[in-house]
Amino acid sequence: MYYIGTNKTDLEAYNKKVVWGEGYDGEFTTDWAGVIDHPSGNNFAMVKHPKYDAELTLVETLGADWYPEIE
Amino acid sequence: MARLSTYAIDGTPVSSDKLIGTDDSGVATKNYPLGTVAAWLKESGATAILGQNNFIFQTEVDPQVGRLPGTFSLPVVGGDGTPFSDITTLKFSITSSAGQYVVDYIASTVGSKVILGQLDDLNAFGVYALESFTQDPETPTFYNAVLSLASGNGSLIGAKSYGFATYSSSATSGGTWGGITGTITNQTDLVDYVTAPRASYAIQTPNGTSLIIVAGNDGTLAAIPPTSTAPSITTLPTISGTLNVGRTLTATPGTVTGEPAPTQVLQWQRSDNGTTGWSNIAGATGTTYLLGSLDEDKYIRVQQTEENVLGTATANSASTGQIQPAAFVGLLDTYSGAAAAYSLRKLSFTYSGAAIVVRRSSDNTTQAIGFVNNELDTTSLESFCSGTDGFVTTWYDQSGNGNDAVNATAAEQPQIVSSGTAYSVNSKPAISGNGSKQLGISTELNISTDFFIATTLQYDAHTMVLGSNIDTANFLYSSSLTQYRARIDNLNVFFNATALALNTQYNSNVFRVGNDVDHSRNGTLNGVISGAVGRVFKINALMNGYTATSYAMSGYAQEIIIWDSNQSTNRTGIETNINDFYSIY
Repeated sequence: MYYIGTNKTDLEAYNKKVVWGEGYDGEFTTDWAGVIDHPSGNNFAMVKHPKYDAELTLVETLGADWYPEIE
Repeated sequence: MARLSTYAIDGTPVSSDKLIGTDDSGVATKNYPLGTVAAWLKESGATAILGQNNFIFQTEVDPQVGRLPGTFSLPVVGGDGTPFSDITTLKFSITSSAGQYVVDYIASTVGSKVILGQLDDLNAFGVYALESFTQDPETPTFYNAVLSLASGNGSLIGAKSYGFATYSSSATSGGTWGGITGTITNQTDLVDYVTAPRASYAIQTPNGTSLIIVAGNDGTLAAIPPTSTAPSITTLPTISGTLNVGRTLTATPGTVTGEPAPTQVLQWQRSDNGTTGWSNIAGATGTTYLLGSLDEDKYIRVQQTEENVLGTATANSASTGQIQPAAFVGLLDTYSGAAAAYSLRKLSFTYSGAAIVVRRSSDNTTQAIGFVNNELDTTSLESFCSGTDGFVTTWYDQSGNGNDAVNATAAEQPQIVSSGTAYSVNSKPAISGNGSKQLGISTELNISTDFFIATTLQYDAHTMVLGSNIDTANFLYSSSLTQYRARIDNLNVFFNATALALNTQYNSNVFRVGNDVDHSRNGTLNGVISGAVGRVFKINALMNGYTATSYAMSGYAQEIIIWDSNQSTNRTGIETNINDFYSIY
């Protein structure tokens, strides 16, 4: 499951929400997930944490358009 | 005394130099100052000649058959211009009190070869057999030496200095003449006719002590500086290493003093009890010693011997503890030199760290998980995760280079425990990737040399196993569209085989030798691709090899080892080791 948004900051905020909620040790684990950039540069995505919700679009998987083709 | 010939004569000898030799009992090195020996000779009515081709006495030839009072002289037979080849008798006068010692000495050499030579012209000499040396019946202060020619060159010349010398045939003084053949034109050539041990001089001193002086290889006398000292070992040698059969012990010699610099010999020794009965181990004379089966349950020590011309010193290390049976030998112990090595089994007996660090999902705490019997301690792993999931934050590098693979982003951390049970492939633990997991190497490996990358894995989708996750130019990739594939600095390498089958465990290895890149899977080569020379293979990610995680590994990784050197001759051995452990094919 992924959250999708047009503002990267929304996804970065979601990451912080999870980090605070989970209390990662800050040594071996510092973040929940990285922001995935769409090749178009207009959309951003992040893996959803099972325990935390956000007011973002939730999709089951990212479409093939998110992945650069291997030449 | 042959060892003395290893010491070159000391540049320009001075009277305070020590002279190397033995007394007439064969006791090693009489430490007489050179000047003292010269004085003895001089007192004997002769002038000492040291360091010049085997002559020990000189006197002036007396063309008038006269003798200088109080000296030891060589009267000429025939006078100035007499060819050496014509000389059959020499008459010695011994008017000095010390002359008797010289007489005794020369008399002891009857039967030997002697040489009479001009001191400032090596081309003028005669070599003779000394047939007899007897007191002159008419003049008791004279002695007659009867000679028979062996070889000669030139003639006696008035007012020149001559030397008379001999090599004694006695066992203690050594040095006998061999057969002289051919034309001898130079006194130096005669050295070739002296059989070993070469050139020792018997000199009897005024106080009655006999001294044998040994010459160096070049026929010169060996003298060493007056500051010379016998060896002394001031600290004991020590031994380091693991006390198991198959391991190598290393000796660190003790501190040594001595001049000339002593020659060192190390000898490893074995004992049943570590206290008595030490015996030399044949051939074990190096600084290292590989413990063998004969050493099991025994004790080892190393004996250090230091020797120079002035003496010998010996010291023994402390005994080791009892040598234990052969212990674990890992893949990297046999095939060392890896740039990075990640595994869920122990790869080297020298590696003492953990295998991984795991974060459990229940409370996000972490714990390092090590090895039990050289395999991942899955009992501790599953106990720590306690029914929840476990994720790998760190896969430790066992190569010793510190290239640990880490990921501090929870969603990207590969999984190793699911609901309290460790993942496994073919009964061995495995790290799982679901297409979005990866581990990063903080210092990117940039391999411009030959390399060998050995992986043990199982795909459940065609994805990356390693490469660079900040570009698209470097990866190893099982492609569903093409073949098993490598990209090295943008050079696409499609091996002559299909992609790895899904849900099948493989030992899959890619290696470069010069311009060629090859791939082997489960021990079978899949063809050589050329064009890789000079390209730098960049690796900063495991279980991924492309930008972001879009092609991250979907499947299981159990072992990834990267050698930045040519291991092609070790390929079969490496693959056998891997297969013996994982039972892949």
